[in-house]
Amino acid sequence: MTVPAAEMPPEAVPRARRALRLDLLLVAVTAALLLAVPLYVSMTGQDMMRLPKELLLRAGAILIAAIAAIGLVLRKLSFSRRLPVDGALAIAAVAWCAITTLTSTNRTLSLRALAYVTAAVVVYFAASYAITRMRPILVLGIALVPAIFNAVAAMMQALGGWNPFFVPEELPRRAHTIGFLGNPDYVGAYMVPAILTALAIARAWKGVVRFGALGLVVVFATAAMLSQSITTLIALVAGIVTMAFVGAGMRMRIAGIVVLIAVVAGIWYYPATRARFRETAVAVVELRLDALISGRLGAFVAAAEMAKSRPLVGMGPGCFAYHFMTYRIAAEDKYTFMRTAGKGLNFGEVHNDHLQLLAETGVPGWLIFAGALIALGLRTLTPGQTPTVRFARTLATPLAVSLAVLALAQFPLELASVLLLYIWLAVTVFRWSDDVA
Amino acid sequence: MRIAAAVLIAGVAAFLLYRVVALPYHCNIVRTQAEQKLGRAAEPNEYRAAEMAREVLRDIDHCLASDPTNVALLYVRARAFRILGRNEHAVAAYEQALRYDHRPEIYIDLGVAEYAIGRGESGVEHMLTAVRFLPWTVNYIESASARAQVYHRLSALYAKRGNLLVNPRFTREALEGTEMQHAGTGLAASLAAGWSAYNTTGTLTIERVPSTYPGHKGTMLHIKTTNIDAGLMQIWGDWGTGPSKVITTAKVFVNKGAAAIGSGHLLNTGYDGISKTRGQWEELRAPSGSCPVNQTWLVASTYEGADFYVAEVRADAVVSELPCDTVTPPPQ
Repeated sequence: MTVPAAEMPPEAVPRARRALRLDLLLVAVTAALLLAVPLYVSMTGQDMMRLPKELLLRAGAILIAAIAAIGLVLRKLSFSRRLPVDGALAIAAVAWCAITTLTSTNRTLSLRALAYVTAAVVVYFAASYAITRMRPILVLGIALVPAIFNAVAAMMQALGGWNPFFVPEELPRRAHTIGFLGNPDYVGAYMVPAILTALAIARAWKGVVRFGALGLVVVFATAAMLSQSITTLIALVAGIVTMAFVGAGMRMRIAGIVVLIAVVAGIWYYPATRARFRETAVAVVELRLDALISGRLGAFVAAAEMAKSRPLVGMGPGCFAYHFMTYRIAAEDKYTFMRTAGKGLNFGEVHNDHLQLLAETGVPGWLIFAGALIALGLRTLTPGQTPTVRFARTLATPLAVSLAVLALAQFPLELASVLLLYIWLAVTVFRWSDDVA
Repeated sequence: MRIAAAVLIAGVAAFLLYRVVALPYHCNIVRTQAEQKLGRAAEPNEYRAAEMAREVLRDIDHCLASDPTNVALLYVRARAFRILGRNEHAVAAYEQALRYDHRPEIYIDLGVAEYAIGRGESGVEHMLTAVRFLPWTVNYIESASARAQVYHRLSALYAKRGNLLVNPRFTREALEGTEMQHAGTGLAASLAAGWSAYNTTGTLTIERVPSTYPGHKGTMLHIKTTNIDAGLMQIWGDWGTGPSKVITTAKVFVNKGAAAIGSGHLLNTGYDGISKTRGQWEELRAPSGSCPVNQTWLVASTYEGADFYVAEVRADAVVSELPCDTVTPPPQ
């Protein structure tokens, strides 16, 4: 981070002025990246959404790193030497990823995963730099504008309107609800932090901003509902309950309960979502674990077995998919219940980021993730009454809880668009609560 | 000096952008086009198919040269080689792909290609891995002898597991209480863990009682039905999976009507053996009737229903080379 010109000794001010352009460029590239990744698709590629977004993340990280390095070399940028807790955790994440790449069972694959984690950490620091130099409305706009486009696209797709992507007509409407993200579950996962952000804005600001934010909550919640993603809706409910009951007053609790009732009513009113929840309830009653977690039991058990076999360093970042078949076959010999679990699905991700971290990077890898969530959640204790601090305090724990819940049955950390939104919001919480923390 | 360093950094960044962003992006598009061409290469005109395959190999060459770990393109390369009949090259491409990803389609295609060039043992091993993970890949094995070997190995693996049924003596409880009724149709939870109560029409009553089978100390189930095909069912394998043949045995004591046992494929299991006596313990024993086997049932085989006790049921795989005709993926 640069030291604001006002706090610099007088002789340093001209240097800071000269640094203005690279300063702005760094902020602009970071903001553009955050805006572009959730909306970017490649219409001609085999993988139209996930890979192109990941490539864009790589490109953004390279540009950011290059600008920062050039700025340092030319002495046109300077960064704070103070390393906050969240920054230390980000460095710990990339360092541990590097160590587990060295001990990996397949280093080629782990190097790719290390590149992804490094890119995310570069964006983390760039976001930290940018957020302290931007107006709150811009910071929040960067988080919410792509969510608006994705929510509107998802609604049109779900309701049978405009859809630029080919999805066979015979597939259920849920399968059409992909926004610019690629999958109904990704849409749902993306909407969760967006909804919580809009709710926190409504809590922190007053007047038109509050009403505007509540309007966005309705738009995002409708898109989340239409995605019919069970994990999304559970994460959303967990986030709202946390927001209403952790460190909040009576009015906030009442508002939280009203929103919760609206969400549950929405689930009940929309037949497709109701049907999905009913199927889940039947699976619970009949103790059909595999059906309950949508056929993901094989992936969960394989990941748990991998974590058991190398608890300290895991199989190596990015190595779950490589070992999945072997462990899935072995699990069937080992556990009777695996013989009736859904067969043939070749999972590239565990669909549970907690287990994936344990399987690929061992217990220390997961502890770093858990530590980051706790550090974020603790910002709820920040005192202060400015709107930005109120926003940070309101969003901190719900954001951490929603990510922890989403990571139970999805892979938000592996999706560039969802990961970047969480990074941006987490950094916003940290930096806006820094002043008073 | 500083300017030179900045230029160097910009150069490295530009190179990285080309190498890790632009090139993978371009190769993602090349892959789409290559797969479309390979789809067209499936046409009956062999000359045209070979042309397409050669074109694909040319198209993907520079992408694989820049990223030899691109599994999707390695798989495309192997498929193109197979169209050209160059199985040795295809095997090499599949083997390279396996260094970076394990997928059933790579294993089965590698196995088939290896078998074609005379590497039978390794080929069967790879085919077996694919079939164990994704049973319906067995349909891609065209050679009858290869299929027989795969089934032989597969059935040996199942045979090693012993009794394939869980809770064969009904010692672990599911529902509480000592009696249950199922008056609906289809499957319902039963008194014994792992077992379902299966009913068609009428009423099915299941009671847990102390076993009277000589030598048994635990419990047995008393089954009373008012209609045919009602009784116990256990689905112990997923759709399309399982050994090609099992021997089912059941120790039953029939009071009224007759009891039948059967093992087979889901929705396609019949009566493999029917009780012949009443008022005494009888061991029913019969080979499975459909293939692959993943389900066992014990039901009334008389229209007026039946009244019988069951002390134990077994389903043991038999080492066999009997291939299933086709293994279909599960219905959606």
